[in-house]
Amino acid sequence: MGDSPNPVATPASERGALTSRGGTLSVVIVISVALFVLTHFVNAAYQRERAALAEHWLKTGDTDFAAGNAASAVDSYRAALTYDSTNPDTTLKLAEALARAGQQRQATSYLLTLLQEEPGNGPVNLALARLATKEQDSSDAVRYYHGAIYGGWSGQGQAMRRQARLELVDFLLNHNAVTNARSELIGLTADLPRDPAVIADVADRFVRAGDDENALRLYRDVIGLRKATPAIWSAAGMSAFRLADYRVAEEYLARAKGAGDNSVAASLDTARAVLELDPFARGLPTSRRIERLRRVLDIAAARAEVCKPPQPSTSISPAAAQMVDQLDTEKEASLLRQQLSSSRELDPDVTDAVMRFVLRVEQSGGQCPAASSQDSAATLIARNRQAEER
Amino acid sequence: MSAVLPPETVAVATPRRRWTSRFSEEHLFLLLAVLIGVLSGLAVVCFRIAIEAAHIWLFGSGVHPTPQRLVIVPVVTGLVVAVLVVHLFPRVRGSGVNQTKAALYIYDGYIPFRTAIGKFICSALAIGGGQSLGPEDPSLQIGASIASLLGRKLQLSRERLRLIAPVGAAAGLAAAFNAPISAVLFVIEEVVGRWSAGIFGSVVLSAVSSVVVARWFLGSEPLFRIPAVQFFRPAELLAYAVLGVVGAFASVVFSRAIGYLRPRLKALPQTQYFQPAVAGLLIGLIGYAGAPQVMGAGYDVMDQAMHGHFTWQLLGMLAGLKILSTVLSFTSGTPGGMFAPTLFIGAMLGGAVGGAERVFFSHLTGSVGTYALVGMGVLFAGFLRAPMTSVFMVLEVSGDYSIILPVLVSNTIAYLIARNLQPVPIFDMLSRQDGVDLPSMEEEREAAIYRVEDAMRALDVPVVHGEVRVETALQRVIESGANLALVDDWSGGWGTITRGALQQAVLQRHDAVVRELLSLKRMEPLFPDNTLEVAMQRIHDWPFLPVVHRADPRQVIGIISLQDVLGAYRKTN
Repeated sequence: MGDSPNPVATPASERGALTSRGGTLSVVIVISVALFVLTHFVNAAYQRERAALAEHWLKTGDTDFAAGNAASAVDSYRAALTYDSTNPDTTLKLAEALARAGQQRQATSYLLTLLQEEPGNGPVNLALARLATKEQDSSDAVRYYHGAIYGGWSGQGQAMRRQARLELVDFLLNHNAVTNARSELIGLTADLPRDPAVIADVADRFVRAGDDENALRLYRDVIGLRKATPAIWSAAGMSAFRLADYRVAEEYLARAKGAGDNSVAASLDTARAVLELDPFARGLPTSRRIERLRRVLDIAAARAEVCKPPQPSTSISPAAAQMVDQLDTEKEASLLRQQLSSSRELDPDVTDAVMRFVLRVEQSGGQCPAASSQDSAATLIARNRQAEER
Repeated sequence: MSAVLPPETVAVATPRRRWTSRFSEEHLFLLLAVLIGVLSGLAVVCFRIAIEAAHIWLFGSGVHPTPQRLVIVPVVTGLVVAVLVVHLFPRVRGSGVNQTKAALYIYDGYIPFRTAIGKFICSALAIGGGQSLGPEDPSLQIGASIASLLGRKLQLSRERLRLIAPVGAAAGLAAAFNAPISAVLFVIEEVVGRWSAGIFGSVVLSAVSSVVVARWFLGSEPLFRIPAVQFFRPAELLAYAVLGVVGAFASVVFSRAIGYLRPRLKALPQTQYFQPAVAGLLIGLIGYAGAPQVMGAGYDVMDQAMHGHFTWQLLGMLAGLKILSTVLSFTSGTPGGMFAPTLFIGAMLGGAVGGAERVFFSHLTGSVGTYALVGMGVLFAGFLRAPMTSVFMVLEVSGDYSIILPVLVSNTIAYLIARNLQPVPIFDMLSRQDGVDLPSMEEEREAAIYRVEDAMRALDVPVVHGEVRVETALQRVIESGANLALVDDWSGGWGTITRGALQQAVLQRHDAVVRELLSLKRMEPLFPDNTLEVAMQRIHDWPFLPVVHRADPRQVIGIISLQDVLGAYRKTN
């Protein structure tokens, strides 16, 4: 293969050249095959070296990332990518490290490149959704969360899809998109595992979305799994309480005493008071109903008495005077008592009047002391009655 | 063998042998193109491995080399490369594009194989050692050198041997770039300069086979990952037009800096041992000062730029520093290519312009990556002056057709402005500095083409039909005052007949028709849009040729003679 001046083919030498071409060509082909094999070995050795370097830097990056050193992790992942540029996991890790290092734009760019290659990649969509959430970009966040929920995951797919949907629900709830959040939660309940923590997680979000009915159903599932903690009892009891199912609430809240939450104790007392005072409870004889109604009236009257403002001065405004008139309820309470005493049957008009009286007392309670459990129970009874009538 | 054959056998065998010989040569050339592609692909695979291995060995495997290495490595490798170039491989200086052109136009396809070896070793050391150069042009020359060697060993004809270097060049470039279309276009556009079925087929075959080999070993991933391309509003073309303008000026600065410094450094032969080392030292200091991104080919940095790793101010600074370091590396005589630096500068400049525009016009939707990608094409068009390649290169590396409009707009603007400000393209300038006057493909493309319509004159001779009697024809010739007539012989084509011939025919046989007097040889008419070159090829000994209408070949719209052709050329000069 040495250098030689150009041996330009002449007609005389052409024939000889033609005959020797076959042999030369054969030699060239043999050399090509030999070089191919040689290159194969050289390349294989070099690729092994690259793979080892990529693994080394990936591990270094993982260590840096776990140690919270995002900037170093970025460098390490970059080095890993230099030696294994096609590895989407490394790119994803680099994007996550960049995001943690505060370089959102770059992270997004790397993730978009990955997404371009595989639009249905679940982890990439989830990472993009998290970035969009940080950027408060609602439309992108929802789009990428949906991409993550319906995208492909290698291993742990169900769990990661659920995680993505839970994050989407949180995002929606934080942006007051309650209806959408409820829809996502209902979708989530379709394939919940029998894992109390997961079910409770979803139930908690139903509570945040204002859907106590579904929340209570899920809490009951957890209770059914015999894995309920005081917190679960408490949350379930509170849901039942908000749903005006005071018997269930009383039962659950009674078991949640270990939760150490004052509101639980207060709700439990209130639930018990409601159960004790509710004149509309099923199966009560009329006399008991009238008696309970009278007790509710007395509680409201007493509450009105403690809420009564001091005697108005002459300089009081007309609005304040009107309020004082409204609060001068002693007379009204007395009248209602008389009406209740004079009748053996429960007069619906009188019942409604008592309920209105209770609500009015509660609504004018701007300067009242903290309500007792009985006060709260009376108010709840009146409110529930009003809601039923509506 | 023919000596022992009877004469009749030889008479039969000779045309057959000729046909076989021609057949063999053509097919051998195509087969050879594939072999050249395979061997070039293998060489480029090893070349890339050598560059990367040298880089890892010299700088370490991390993304941030130590400051000491940043300064020392380019200096030491510069010294080693200088010694190798001066003592062992004097022909490996520069990029390799002009050497391949010289092989085609001057040396009958001859490129010493030693050049390939030298280019491989020196470029791998230089690029791996941090010089601001790229591996594409050396790959092109390595491919051309392999092709030349094979052509010589197979004793190809002079014509084939000349064409074989570009075939190898396309193979080398395609494998290095992992972009066969761009490689084929570049070689056709910048080296060969003409499209013909023979050369095109061979170039394509070699490019494809080399890319197949390169992908076999290195995978089909592009040199850098292209982010999602964003181009939504046509109004944004204005923003890309600005990029075209900025890119054109950057190209001119880059080109003029090389044009200024290279001959001056060449004129100092006593410093040739130190020039690459000094260039390396300066580049190392740039790296030490905080911009190590400008060292080496820089594909990883382009990747980062396209993914928004840098602010637009930093991108602009990197573009400027890369121009400086590439000028230093290239003019110092260090072997290495300018493709990668051109793409690097374009990417940084594109990202900078895009980033800056977004600061002032926040509604722009194009990402920095999109601008960086378009910027690569802009510099390719403005600096390397390969407009077609620049467009297809961007499309090929991005794989996204939606970017075509910004690319077309900005590349065209960059090309036109750069051409206006710097009439001599970089490769032509380099060859002229080396004292070699290679044909300029751009000048050839832009050369005025003279056509028949520019030289023809009005019909001043009578046109007679072949079926006309000689008496009538003579009368028409006499009436026109001409000495001859143009004969339109419906069955046989065009011819001429002189007045004398007609007179003689009348005297001998007055009822004869003109066709009977015509010779068998007929004129090939011309069309107004034929080039004057075609006219000269057809004119032979005819006093003139008729120029006919393309839609009606029997309609004569003028005539043209050799004097008319020469007169037209004389007028233009």
